[in-house]
Amino acid sequence: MNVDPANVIEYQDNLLELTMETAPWLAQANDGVIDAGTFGGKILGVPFSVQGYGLLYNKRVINEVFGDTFDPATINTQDALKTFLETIEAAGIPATLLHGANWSMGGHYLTLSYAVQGPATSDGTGYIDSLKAGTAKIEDSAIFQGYMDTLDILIQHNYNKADPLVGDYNADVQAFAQGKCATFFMGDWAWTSMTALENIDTEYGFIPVPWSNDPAAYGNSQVVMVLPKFNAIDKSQNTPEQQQAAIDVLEWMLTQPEGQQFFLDAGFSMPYKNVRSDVKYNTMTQSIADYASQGKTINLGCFSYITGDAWTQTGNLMLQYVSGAIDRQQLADGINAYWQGIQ
Amino acid sequence: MMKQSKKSIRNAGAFAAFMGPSLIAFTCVLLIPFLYGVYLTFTNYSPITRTSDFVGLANFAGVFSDKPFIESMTKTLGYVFYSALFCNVVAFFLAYLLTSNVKAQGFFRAGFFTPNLIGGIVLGYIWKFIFANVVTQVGKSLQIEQLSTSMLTNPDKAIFAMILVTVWQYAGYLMMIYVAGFVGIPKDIQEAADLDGATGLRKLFRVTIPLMVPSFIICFFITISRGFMAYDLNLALTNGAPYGATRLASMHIYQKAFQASQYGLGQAEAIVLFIVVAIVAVSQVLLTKRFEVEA
Repeated sequence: MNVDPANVIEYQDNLLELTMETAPWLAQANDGVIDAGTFGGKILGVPFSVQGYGLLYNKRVINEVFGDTFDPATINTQDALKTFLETIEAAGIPATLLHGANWSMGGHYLTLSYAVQGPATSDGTGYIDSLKAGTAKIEDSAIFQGYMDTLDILIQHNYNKADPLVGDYNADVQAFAQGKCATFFMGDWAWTSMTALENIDTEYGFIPVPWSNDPAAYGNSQVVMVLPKFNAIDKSQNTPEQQQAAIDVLEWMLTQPEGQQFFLDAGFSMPYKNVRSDVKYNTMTQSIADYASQGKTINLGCFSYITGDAWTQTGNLMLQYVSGAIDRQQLADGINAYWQGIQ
Repeated sequence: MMKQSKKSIRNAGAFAAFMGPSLIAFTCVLLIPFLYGVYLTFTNYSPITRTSDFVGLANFAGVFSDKPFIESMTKTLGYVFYSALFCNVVAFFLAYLLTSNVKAQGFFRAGFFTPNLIGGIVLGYIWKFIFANVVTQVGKSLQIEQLSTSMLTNPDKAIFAMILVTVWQYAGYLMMIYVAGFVGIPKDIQEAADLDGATGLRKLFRVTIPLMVPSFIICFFITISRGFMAYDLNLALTNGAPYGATRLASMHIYQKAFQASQYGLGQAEAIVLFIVVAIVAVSQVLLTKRFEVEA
């Protein structure tokens, strides 16, 4: 079954452990990919796609403002981003777009504050544990404050500024695809929603979301790379033969050319070494793959451990902040209270 | 003596034949799951661990310390009060109009009834689109500040939007019940009232409304019980937005049980909701039954 990482953790006692003996094809996976599906030392889930998010930008619109000279690597500090957005606004184009949904603001944007605490998954989860224990308060984190400062900049230039919480995904994606705004805080899955539209721009790329003015700081020149879904095999309600059959199906789907074609046709970038090299991805996924090949990615492993209603509750707080209903201290208090209230 | 028992056996047989299927369905689909649910609240069962130990009243203690649940119940009470009131006022008014022999009466009755045929989910999505796009366009072109942003992004206006859509959905359905009530008033009583010199309004309040109390009982019961359990409209129209401000009781219970994975607490809250609805609905019926008059 295809599940969220949080479900793998929840149901881990019911899932079949895959090992190098039972599933030797796991060696085909790229580095670090199998680690992401490993919980408690057991390989419980295997991913089929690598996705990423950051600040998407429309190449045609950017080229119109900056000429062909724009280099996304120059956006690696908060000031650089601010100048970049202001230049676009001065040219008469809304600079960015924030999708007013609790999963985008709470699940994606806020999680940056946890993930950028350190490059290892345990840095993020350790920080969340200290929030749960009450030993850390989120407003004391310079990273959180930095990301909220950047969010303030984004809110100012938000295409949806007049009514930021409408949260109509199709309308927002369409507006971005038609070039009505220059950037969009979203992930490369946005492409799948665009394929049905006509007369849209097709060239996009990603820039990082910086949180400080130190270009060397972790998170300022990287985009998020996440393994959003895992395939897992249940062991609690079936026979060993059925489980072996499931392992065989996964092998075919993930490492045989015919099986892989299904995912490649859907536009997913598969993190396996033997994927056909002549596959052309859409520009968004290609941009993520470029960042990954340069090693410039933010590890969002702690995302897998954020279970339950975290997105809904902290996302709602973020939406209140975006719409101006609460201020930053109230947002921080709410986030602290949420984590401390988790059993 | 033989004749009596034969008759009662035949009666029992008739009872079983007519009521049997419904009773079986009711027992299997409503009664047994309900009783099982009550049993589950006294355990710490979860579909993830699939173990269950007896925990007594621990889940119920958690219900009253769950502040968001109390808040969602308060919001639901307000929602039920206003939607029941407006639904019935509008429905009664429409029924009154459409039983006074206007032209194309049947067409209007069918027209007003149609919104009820659209399910809550589709209705919610259609109205979401209308509030976010159509109403805002009208507001912008007519320069009305209040309507230029979507009503659904403002915590106070969003609940009003939900009440509006509820009235739109149910007014036609309740109207049909009121129409049946109007039509069921004996003509000779109305003529007697006219002969005695009663004006329209007096006739309405002294003759028509008292004879329509059964319709009121049914309609208020429907609106109150459906209002408390509203979920599909809540989900499709607002999904609790903005930021949880329109999260009514059912939605809170669902999120507690299935998102936060606190199944025991969620089930206990569901039982509490059931008790509240039962008390309110039954007392409403009993209180208003006193107003029934014989024709």
